[in-house]
Amino acid sequence: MKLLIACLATETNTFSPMPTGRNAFEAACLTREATHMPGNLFTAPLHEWRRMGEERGWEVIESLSAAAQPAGTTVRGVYEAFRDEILDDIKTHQPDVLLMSMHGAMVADGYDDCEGDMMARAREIMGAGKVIGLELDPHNHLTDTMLENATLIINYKEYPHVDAPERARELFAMAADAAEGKTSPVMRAHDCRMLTIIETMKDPAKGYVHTMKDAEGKDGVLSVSLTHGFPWADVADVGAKTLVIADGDAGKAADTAKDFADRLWNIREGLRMDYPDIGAALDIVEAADDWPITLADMGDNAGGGAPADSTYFLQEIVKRGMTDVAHGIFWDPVLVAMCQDAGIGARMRVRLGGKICAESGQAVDLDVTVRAVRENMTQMLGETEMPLGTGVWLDADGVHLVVSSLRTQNFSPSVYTDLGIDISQMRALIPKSTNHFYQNFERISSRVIHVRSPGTVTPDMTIIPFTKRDGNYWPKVENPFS
Amino acid sequence: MKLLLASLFNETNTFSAITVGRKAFEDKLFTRTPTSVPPVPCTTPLHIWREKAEAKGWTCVDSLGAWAQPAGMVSRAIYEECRDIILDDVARERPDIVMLSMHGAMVADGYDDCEGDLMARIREILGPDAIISLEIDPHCHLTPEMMTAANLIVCFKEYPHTDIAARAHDLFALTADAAEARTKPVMRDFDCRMVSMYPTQGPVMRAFVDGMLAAENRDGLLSLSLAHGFPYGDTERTGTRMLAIADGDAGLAQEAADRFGKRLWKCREALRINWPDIPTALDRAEAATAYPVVLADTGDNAGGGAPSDSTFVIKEVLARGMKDVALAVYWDPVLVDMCCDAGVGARMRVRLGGKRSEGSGDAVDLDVTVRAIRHDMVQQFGDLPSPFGTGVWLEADGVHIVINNSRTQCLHPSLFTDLGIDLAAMQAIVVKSSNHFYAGFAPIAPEVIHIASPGTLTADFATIPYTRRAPNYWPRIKNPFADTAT
Repeated sequence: MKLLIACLATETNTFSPMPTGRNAFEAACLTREATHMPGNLFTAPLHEWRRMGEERGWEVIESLSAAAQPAGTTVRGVYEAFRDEILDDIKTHQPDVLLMSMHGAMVADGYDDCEGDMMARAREIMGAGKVIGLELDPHNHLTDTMLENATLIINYKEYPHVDAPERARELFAMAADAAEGKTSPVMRAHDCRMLTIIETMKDPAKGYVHTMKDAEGKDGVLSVSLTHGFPWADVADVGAKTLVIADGDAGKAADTAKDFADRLWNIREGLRMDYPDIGAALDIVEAADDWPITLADMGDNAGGGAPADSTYFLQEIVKRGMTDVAHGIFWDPVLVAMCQDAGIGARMRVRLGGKICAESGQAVDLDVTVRAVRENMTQMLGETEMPLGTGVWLDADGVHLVVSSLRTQNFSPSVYTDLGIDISQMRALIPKSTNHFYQNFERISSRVIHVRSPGTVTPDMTIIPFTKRDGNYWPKVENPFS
Repeated sequence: MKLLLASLFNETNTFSAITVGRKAFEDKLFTRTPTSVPPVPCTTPLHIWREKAEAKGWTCVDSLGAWAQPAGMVSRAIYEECRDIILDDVARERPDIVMLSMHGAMVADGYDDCEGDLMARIREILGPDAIISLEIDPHCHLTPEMMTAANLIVCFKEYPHTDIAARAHDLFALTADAAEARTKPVMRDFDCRMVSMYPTQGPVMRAFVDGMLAAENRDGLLSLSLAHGFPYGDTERTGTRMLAIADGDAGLAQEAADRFGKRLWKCREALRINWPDIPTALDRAEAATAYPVVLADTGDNAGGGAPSDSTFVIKEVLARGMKDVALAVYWDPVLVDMCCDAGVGARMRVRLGGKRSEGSGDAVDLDVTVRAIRHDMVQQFGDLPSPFGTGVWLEADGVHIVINNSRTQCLHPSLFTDLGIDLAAMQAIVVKSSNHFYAGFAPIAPEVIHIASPGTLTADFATIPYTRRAPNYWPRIKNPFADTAT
């Protein structure tokens, strides 16, 4: 047997203003020797496949491994070049088995479904009889093109994704069985009409994962996967889907997929993300008598590809005339340089935020005093010191805003105290972060509230501005099956 | 003879909120060896002076070379730092001659007249016998302190300022004559009581400049300069003044200053700035039959302290669905970096403009293709190179946009063509500049239209909200000379 292995992976937030270009792959992973280097999330499966293939005496051919950190739409020419390099290898070597590690939610300019495109072109070269196996992140968009062209698709079951090597071994075993004629895999998927974040370390999702594993290897069911879906992508196939592979029995695969979709629907209340909106969160602060309260501006988390300059919170704070609020970190290297030139104590009118993309919201014009400027600042994420460049404290008559020269989420309240802001006097601290802020802010807050703010990575599944899929999904509608 | 050379150059728009500090100078030029690094427009005179002085066997000493793109007030700290560097050099070197290239409209926190302050302190160190010469931009505030402390002041005569080098040659000759005791220059000025802009390409100003040139070096008259004034600096001396230098004859200098100043005053109606608004200007561009029409977005001229990111014109261009339009230059270092990361060929949705102040207007969201990226670009300004930074060509469906990471006005079509934009295929070219663009763009344009666009710089000089400059000037009042017998 001849096995060809390859990796082409990135998760695309189509709402992010930062395109994913060649630089992003070069910075993360771009090599034809991934199995001779330490593995990452996406190349770890290739290590497993090479080892298992060689143990069986197969000829293993390694093609490209290209992976990039999540960001915006991949540049067309960059995707096409990587794809074609892998396809050329397939043409040259004509493998019996192709195993690929991909993300499943990679969008390139002109290609809403990079994985489907890759599979279809690989199938065209290899012909109907050969085996194509695909390992995906569960935050994928599962498409008909992928299902029609791959022989076997398997998702990681866990989020956090700790099980990529384990799933890789399962995929190899299924691919070997199929290639050796021991099984005839058929795949069927079922649309759950749901879109949410599913954390598998806690129930009910933890139990759901157990149930998937229990069903495998019984009654002709080879594999059960759940596609969680990746919410921040404007593509037609965004959403949760179940995927079942059965041995030769399409009806069995379809019935089992439907059964697991029903099971997910039945646990939906346990998966609901019940965060207040900005108005409700600020109401809580205004009614409280024990401060500071930390409010997470989840929609503008730089760690998820957001610009870190959205103004939704700031606009509402200004409108309400609230004071004793600290909010950050706004990414604006130009404004930082302007403040450095103006110097500490300078009183100036600045235009803050709303500068990077439509999801940044409208810029806000404010009269501020430059209260502090500090270079080479850092904040701690766990044990790791994370840089934020030069930080500036702008005081807009009691609204304390931190601006930085590097784009980063706000991991720690030390950013405020290092600039001299007395956070014990603040009623609200509002870090731009989804969850990494939690430990450091929880320690010094009377209360922590995650807020479903709008933005590039809003956790509010009901306001993501999809244009290519319908709105018939939970929780946007309470019953999409009615 | 020992000659000390220095340049400290900034034009201050006192209405701008952006403070000019150390970083603004470091971004453009901040050097102790200005004649050992490639020249920029304000250090070009220093290169010329060194070459001519060394040819005469003089000793030359470089002091500071510093310039920042115009914005708001210069911080007190950076002005004093720069000034004291020059003063320390003067005190240590004790030159016979100091030649300075300055702007003439630099205002720092606590110093309405930086040039006057620096001149006076140099004079105090060197005493009455040293020669102090100053070449300045005509968009200056000509003050008594400057005229008292300096022996010789020469302004560029052209706007666009294409004659920086020629005036440097003039000033060197005047300086050498004075230093070698062949002449005794005396300066006198005349207050025209006018605040306006005076592009020199029109027939009236052309004749005025030619008249000045023809009168120089005759009958004891050494030099004539028209200080146009810088309308966006709020100082007591803001306004237009005529300056004459004569050889030892104060009366002759005063008579010449009066004569040329009154000649300008008489021409005022022909010189009145009466530019169309955006819709009118675009109507004319759309109705044109010869292309490309060049339009100037004068309200957002970085050279006058504007942010160079206003969206008033592009919004109207997009609303009309105009195609084959090229617009430059939007200052946005962050977007430049994003485009460099994405690479040429990337298609992306960008938020353009509207980022720096209320004068920037609202941001525009556009789907664009990154068509070209080029680092270390340079524009020609007359014969002089002017740095442009990294330029990026973004195309939004037939609308071609140039952004860069170094704030500057548009000076030359090369900023488009060096990126690969075919200007011959354009119907309209919109440049953010008040008038300096004219030197480079007029030769390729069948028609040039200055737009009275909104933004940081208004073309309505009657309504500028001065607090320090008295309102006794044309065109705010019809006849500011009503109290005299003019």
